[in-house]
Amino acid sequence: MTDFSLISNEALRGEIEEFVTRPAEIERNLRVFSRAHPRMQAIALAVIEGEHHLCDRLTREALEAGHVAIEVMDDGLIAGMGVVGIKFRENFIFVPEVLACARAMKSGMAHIEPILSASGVPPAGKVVMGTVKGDLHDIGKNLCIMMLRGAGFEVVDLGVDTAPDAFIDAVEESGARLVGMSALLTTTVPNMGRTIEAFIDAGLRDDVQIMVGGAPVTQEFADDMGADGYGKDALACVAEAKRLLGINA
Amino acid sequence: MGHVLELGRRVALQPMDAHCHDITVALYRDLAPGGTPFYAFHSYSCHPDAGLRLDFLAAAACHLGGMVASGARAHAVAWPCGAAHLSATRRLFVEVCKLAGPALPALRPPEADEARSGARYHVEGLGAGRYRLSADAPGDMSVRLRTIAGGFGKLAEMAVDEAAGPAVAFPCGHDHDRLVALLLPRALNARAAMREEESVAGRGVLVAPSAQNQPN
Amino acid sequence: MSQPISPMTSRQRVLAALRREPVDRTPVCNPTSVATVELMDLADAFFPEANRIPEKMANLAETSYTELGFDTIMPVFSIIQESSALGCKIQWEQKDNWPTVKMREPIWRDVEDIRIPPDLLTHPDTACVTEAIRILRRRHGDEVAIIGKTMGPWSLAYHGFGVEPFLLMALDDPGKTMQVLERLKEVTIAYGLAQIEAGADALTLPDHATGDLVSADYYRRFLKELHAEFAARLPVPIILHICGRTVDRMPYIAETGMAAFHFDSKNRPDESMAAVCGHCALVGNINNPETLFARDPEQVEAEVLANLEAGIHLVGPECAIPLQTSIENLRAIPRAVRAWHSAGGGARCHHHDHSHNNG
Ligand code: B12
Ligand SMILES: [Zn+2]
Ligand SMILES: [Zn+2]
Repeated sequence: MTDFSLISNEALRGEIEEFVTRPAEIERNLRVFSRAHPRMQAIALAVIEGEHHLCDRLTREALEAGHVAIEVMDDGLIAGMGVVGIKFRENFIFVPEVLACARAMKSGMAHIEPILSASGVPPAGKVVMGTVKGDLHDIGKNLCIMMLRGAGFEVVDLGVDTAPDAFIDAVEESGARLVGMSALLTTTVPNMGRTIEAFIDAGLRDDVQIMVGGAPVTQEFADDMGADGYGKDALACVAEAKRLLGINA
Repeated sequence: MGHVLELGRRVALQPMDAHCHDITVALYRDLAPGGTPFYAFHSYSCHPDAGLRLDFLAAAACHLGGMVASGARAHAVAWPCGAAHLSATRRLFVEVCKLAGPALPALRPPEADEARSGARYHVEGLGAGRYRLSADAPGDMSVRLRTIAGGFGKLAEMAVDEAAGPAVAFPCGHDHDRLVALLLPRALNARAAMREEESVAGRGVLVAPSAQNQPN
Repeated sequence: MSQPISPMTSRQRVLAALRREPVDRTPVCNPTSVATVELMDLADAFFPEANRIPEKMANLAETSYTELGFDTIMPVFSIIQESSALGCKIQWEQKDNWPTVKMREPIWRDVEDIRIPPDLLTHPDTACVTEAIRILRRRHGDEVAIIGKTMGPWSLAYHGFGVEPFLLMALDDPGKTMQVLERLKEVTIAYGLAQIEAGADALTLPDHATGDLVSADYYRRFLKELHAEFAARLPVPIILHICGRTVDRMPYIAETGMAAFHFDSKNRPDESMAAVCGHCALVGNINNPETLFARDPEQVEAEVLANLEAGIHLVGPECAIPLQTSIENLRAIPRAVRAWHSAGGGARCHHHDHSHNNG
């Protein structure tokens, strides 16, 4: 059965017990955290609580104490961000709190990234993300990017008001095999379809997977415009990215 | 300033026509006195070129899609069979709005090439609104052809007969050769149709291993 | 039972409904925007000019009354007029899109950076609105309700600081956030008063502390009192507009003294009526992207009925309607309202309203 006492950090245990309710997610979090070193549990908690100074210090200390960068990233930072995504999806926290958690995660990643890039550890996958032409809403897209980075993806962020050609250029430059598009206006949702058509016209459609999202977008719209994937929130975005790139959860 | 008119149901819209001063062009569906559906190109724009542009769009729908002018209203067109063919008409609207005019483009032959597979696809009329799909390509193209047939189903609400080649058919029972030639290149890319196929395959329909799509 | 009400002008009807007094029929109202690309052609007034030239703004705005049969005219189609005067960089866009603030290039980082320019009310992009209101008042006299729009401090802060930096500020430093809002509230007041002076009958006050971004507690802590101050200092009925999920904060909104709240379809009409508990009128809440934009008049009529049956005081779209919305769908709204009243729905409506007034 679910034995929360396997998580030694009491505050972290409290977070999981209180906010994670889906059985599969409880199981996954127990699996990750019960074998995570106490230092990693503390880092995860710092991310969940949005404490960026603390996260910065704990990450530095863990590395100095000899923990490898991958462990700190996977069992600490990424694991913590996973809980943040769940709390946001379930409306326990809102956008400001998620922004603070992402800031904490970033302060830890600042120590990890140089080590990883020096040692040539490949990212989980590469994704190009942007809000489509004519649309300046980017809060949702940015949350998706935070969660993708939180899950170990390398993300090329094209920002807002992104023309089809900019998506195509970014794919060609970065070699990413996955494109994510966001739109919040009904007037700009058709620009997703136009971008997909531009990939067809450029002869690149079969080289990339395309996922779409944003409040007015539905699975039906996504199918109609010929996208490969659709996600209704930031967690679903990460799950879609993994599915489309064939990465095991 | 003009006034709002009763024009029936708006079924398609081009918010900014790049070929005519960014006017907004709409397609309205209405019923002629006998009850047959017709479609009218309409713009509320008072730009002096708007009327000519609508003339062109209606003419292009007749030329490229095989619709015929309808006397019901200015810039009105209808399918000669008397059916509505709503999805196909919407697609035709998108295609004609892409044209700069005033010259009408050459008609496409009922075939299309696909760079990726190197295949050339054909549609061949069988009469009574039925069309057979075929491909010139080495290897077994049957899955691909079925996908393209599904594309026609999605784009023009055509019935798909998998056994016959496959073949696709208009429910009205009339031929629409120009429309079929126009839709073929789009049917090749109807990813939505492909996705439906995939999910059907995922539901346990047995397919020969050679014919299975690449897994994700 | 209430007395039958003699026929009202659109203006009388809207103002009565905003006071939750009896009406001859429920008014149809969009306090945000009903501009569409087809109406732009018809009025020969297009974005972006219709957001910047008073005559064009007035010509496009009045179509809601003259062509669609709504009871209100709202000339401010966007939410950026005063932000432009405050110095934000604006992307003016083209016919098929709204203008927006380039929030990627914030103009403020701290409270001290906020300066209210001396030309706030004479800047071309704010004066355009006041001038358009004057034109509309001249043209339409007392027949129709003309609604102005003045942005609340929370939304102005999004524009000046960028949404994300401002939301983080609200979390990190509530004291500083309050100072920001205190400074910006003077913009809201000044621009509101200028529009009232120009002839506005009521004002929409958008202030996007929505459930899609922040919890209800943010509304209570940062905005409730400020909103009460707006209701007290602006001498016309104020319609607060917050799109997204808001039912959790409606009880607070209802305590501010705002005349009305313009609510989104993410909140059901009946639960919203219960949440405001007769303390303010509700305006809404026909769904924009799924219904008005993507479906047919029948579905629009069904949503109108749901609002009328719930006793919603002014019926209309939930927010600025998509620019590609069809004219048939918009005209279905007043048609459905009239049909419901002729079928006897009105009698129930007065009765319902009355009980609220007394209660
Ligand atoms: C905040 C906001 C703004 C801010 C934007 C700030 C910014 N930097 O983004 C401001 C105030 C500037 C703004 C401006 C406008 N807005 Co606005 N805005 C909103 C609001 C209130 C919240 C949007 C939001 O951030 N939600 C929170 C995030 C977290 O959710 P999300 O974006 O849906 O993202 C989640 C998922 O969708 C998904 N997701 C998102 N992207 C992707 C991508 C992929 C690949 C995947 C898998 C998943 C995914 O994951 C995210 C996280 O869970 C909505 C109302 C609402 N209820 O949605 C209106 C809304 C989107 N806005 C609207 C309008 C009309 C406008 C304006 C035109 C207003 C005007 N009259 O000028 C302008 C347009 C500007 C432009 N050209 O883009 C309308 C759009 C109507 C329509 N559908 O056409 C809405 C829906 C309000 C309404 N009810 O009508 N807006
Ligand atoms: Zn036919
Ligand atoms: Zn809104």
